[in-house]
Amino acid sequence: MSRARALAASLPEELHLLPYVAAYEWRKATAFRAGFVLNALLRGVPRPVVMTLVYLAMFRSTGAAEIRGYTFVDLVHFLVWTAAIQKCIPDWRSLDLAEQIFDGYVTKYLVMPVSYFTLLWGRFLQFTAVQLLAAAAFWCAGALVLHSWWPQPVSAVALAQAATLLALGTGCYLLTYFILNCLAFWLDVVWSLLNMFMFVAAFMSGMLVPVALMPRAVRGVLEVTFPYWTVNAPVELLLGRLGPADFRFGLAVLATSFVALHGLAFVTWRRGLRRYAGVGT
Amino acid sequence: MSIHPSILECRSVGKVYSAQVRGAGTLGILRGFVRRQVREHVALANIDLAVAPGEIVGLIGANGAGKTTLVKCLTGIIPASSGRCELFGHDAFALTRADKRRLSLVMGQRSQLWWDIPAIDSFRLLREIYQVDAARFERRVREQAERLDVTDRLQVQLRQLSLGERMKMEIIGAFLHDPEVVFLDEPTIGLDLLSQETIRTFLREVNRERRTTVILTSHDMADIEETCDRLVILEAGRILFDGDLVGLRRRFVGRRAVEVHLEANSRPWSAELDGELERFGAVLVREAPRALTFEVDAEHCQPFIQHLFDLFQVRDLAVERQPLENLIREIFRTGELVEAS
Ligand SMILES: Nc1ncnc2c1ncn2[C@@H]1O[C@H](COP(=O)(O)OP(=O)(O)O)[C@@H](O)[C@H]1O
Ligand SMILES: [Mg+2]
Repeated sequence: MSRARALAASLPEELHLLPYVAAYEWRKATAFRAGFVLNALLRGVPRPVVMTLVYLAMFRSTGAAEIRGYTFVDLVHFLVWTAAIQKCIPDWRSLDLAEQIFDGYVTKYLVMPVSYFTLLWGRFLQFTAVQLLAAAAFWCAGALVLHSWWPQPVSAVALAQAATLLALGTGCYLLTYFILNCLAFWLDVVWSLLNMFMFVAAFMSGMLVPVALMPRAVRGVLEVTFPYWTVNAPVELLLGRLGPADFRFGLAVLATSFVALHGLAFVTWRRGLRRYAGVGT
Repeated sequence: MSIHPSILECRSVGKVYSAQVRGAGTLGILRGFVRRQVREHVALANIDLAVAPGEIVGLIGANGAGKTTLVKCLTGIIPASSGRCELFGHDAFALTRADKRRLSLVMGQRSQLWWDIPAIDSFRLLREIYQVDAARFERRVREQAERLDVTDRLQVQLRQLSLGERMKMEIIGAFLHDPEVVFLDEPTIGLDLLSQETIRTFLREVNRERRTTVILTSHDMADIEETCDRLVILEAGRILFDGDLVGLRRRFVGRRAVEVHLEANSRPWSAELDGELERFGAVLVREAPRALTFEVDAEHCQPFIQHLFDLFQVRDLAVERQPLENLIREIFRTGELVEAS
């Protein structure tokens, strides 16, 4: 109980620090300018390009006009939106915590009067701000070149709802990466776990194949997980395939996941620190 | 004297690391899969230590003696396996945010600043984290950078600085929030002599001006000898000696080894020269054809060397401090172990 009170007492201080941490992360991220721009531009783009070619081949060879209510153009629109959304989702390289644990770099934060979670959310703020801009630039560029053919959000409300889900969902992604990184306190196979999660999450989120095209049983499971509500559901909201009731359900799923993951992240971090030896110092 | 005179205290502190042992080669690795072999390593055993505010303590020991481990236990980075470590009267592994504001840690082999940005930007972030008043911050950075002679390097990305410059930045960062205790773990490792000297002078001055408690570890006796008032010698995880450096300095530490190499036409060493040594309190410790090693008190070193040039045709001459091993051997020999005192 007293720990909870201490946490609450330090909250204003941590919030005060957030923008400074974000600004530091921004300076760090832009230290290598060319790499930074390239990464912001290319993130999320190669996959939809490849998938478009795959769908093209499928429609050509089967001669079908649509698959489960999705025409070829619908699928391409779906891919365009997943590309924009993927730009905003942290990937396993957004955190170097496992490396810091292995190499003993976490040490310096442990003697500072700041919570590691503040550093985490500061980085998240910076990343999200930059990638939102990159996603907007991507969409505008497409709209300029391809005009009315480029997908538009069905309504401003749908856009706001999609953005809300995305914000919460990316937080869930970050926490999951954080927890997996924390396993470096115990394991030395964190990279493979992160890669596995990346792949499974890509499937669950509908980035590989729209969840609507999957068997009913799979859909049922995915619809209570955060990757689905972070990517696939916002895209369908933007396409007008989901409505306000779905949005409310998704919001509940994401909020629950977020709280649960945050709790788990907190516990993993505390337990891990008890095992931390700060090797190599 | 207050009731709690110590700012930090260790009572029977022990630390045991357990590490998985892997056999050599593929077979060894496979065997490790089947049966995990864990070896326990005692890094610290039964450490008792108390440091009063304003002290400047040198913690010395060979590589692997447990210096870093002790610093980590004292700063709350790792928990002690047994005994109790206290900092500011609280369990060191459960320091509050307020406690953390009162301490600082510099690690010679790990940067505390951020690698990708200039030092001044790191300092600004530290200013927010430690909530240092803006005017005081500016003044302190300027002052300390001048003292350490790195004013023109503040804007350079940390990774582009030399090792010595980087370490000076680390030290500026560590003192920004005016901590009550500063731990420095081998801060002079790998630095050139001039940088080492600058850093030692800086530490002494800050300790004197602000009464900052300084715990300095090193495996180089020169660091401790020139900086500290009190010496703690760690050997294989135990405290071998803990005491005043002043007394020790006279007897062991302040001795210099002078090695002279003689020209072919120089007079050789002979017993009748013994009297010449006595005047300086020097002793001949090693004699080889055309190479002599003497031991002499540091304060008599200079006139003694001058006299050597009068006595011999000197080709080459080297003056060295007593290495740590000699000191430890000497302490063992004279029975001045901490248990005895
Ligand atoms: N994380 C660790 N796991 C296992 N053994 C360790 C670990 N860290 C240090 N040691 C061992 O503990 C001993 C003391 O290490 P350390 O405190 O780093 O010594 P020093 O700083 O005096 O060189 C060494 O023998 C070292 O090998
Ligand atoms: Mg060490």
